[in-house]
Amino acid sequence: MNVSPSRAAASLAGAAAAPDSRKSHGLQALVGSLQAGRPLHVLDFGGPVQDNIDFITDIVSGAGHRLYIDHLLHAYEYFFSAKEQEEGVFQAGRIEEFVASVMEFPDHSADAILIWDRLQFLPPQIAEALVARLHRILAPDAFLLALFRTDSSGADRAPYVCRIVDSQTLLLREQPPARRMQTFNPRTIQKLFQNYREVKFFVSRESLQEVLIRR
Amino acid sequence: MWNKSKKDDLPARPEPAQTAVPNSAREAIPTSAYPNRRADEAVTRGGALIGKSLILTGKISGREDLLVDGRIEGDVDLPENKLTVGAGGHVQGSIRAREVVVFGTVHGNMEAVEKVEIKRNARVLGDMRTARPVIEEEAYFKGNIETVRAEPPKTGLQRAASEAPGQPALPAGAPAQIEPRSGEPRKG
Repeated sequence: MNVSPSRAAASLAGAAAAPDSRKSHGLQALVGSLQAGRPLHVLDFGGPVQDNIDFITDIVSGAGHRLYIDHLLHAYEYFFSAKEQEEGVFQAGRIEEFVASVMEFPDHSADAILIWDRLQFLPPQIAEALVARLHRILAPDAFLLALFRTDSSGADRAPYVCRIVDSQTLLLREQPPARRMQTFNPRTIQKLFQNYREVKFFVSRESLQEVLIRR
Repeated sequence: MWNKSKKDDLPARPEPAQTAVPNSAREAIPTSAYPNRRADEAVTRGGALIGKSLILTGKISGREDLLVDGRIEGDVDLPENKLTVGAGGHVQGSIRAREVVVFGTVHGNMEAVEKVEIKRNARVLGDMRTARPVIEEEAYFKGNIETVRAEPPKTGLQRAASEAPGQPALPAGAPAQIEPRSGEPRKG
């Protein structure tokens, strides 16, 4: 199902930051991989966005198809204490406990994962643990879509609300509050996903790196 | 004339039979048991209401709309009606209804033939199965969404035929029934 850009933009009326529409080759490839004739399980860790729910459930509608939604940053802030978040120091077992609580899925059960820009707003050790867990969850040859901002190193930035307009267009809008953002470049992104089969970078405007990772 | 109540104008009517309620018991009912309904929650006109101070443990089933502003610990089964969980409402258990609207908190799976709507600031942890999932962005939702085709409304005959044998059909508008959870003693 295609959501018209005007409708999507209208639904953002009143937002502080103007939405930014851009082509997404990563999304196009990920959506193309979902045209299978069997029950599919798609995981979206960006939190609920109605256009995304409509778009994905339109692809995977019917008995057995499922779309899982969680907001990774809210889950992180809910799980860890303010002190842990501020200091970035976690006692033994805490990270594993968190990963298990947010990603309790059987191995190889996910047909696609949308993580958007969420990894960039988590402490490096947690991002690494989540990526390792996602590697177990993702089915062989399935895709994971992530976004990384390569500018504003070390600065606080607001994460994006990523709205799917159609199979190759995204509408991005920063949603306050701003959070501490980890710095990534193509080399560190490659290292983060080193256990995956393929890491594909798509050139994007304004220092936004779109990365499609194949399990 | 302003001090004259309307009641004084009405002809004397015999009082309906009432069970005696001691004054102390009447006074003990908190006013919060009768919440102010917000316009967008006023969907249960003619339906049932579980007030803010009420905590119910057990299964609820029936054929009328229900607004929950209190707490339910148990499953809710209203297959032909609408369940609204108010801003202060909390349901800990699975829900089956024609339509579910959540302003408050639900911990459990939801199944609605027509629509599940999760409003901003609501908190839902559980899977949903419905024809039309609607989640506002500032809501917290964690779970799976499975979409199903909406079934056309059943006629009276179809409804009767679909009733399980040995289970008498509840007439339309029959009050919701509360069953204690298995393992808990029945009262009364």
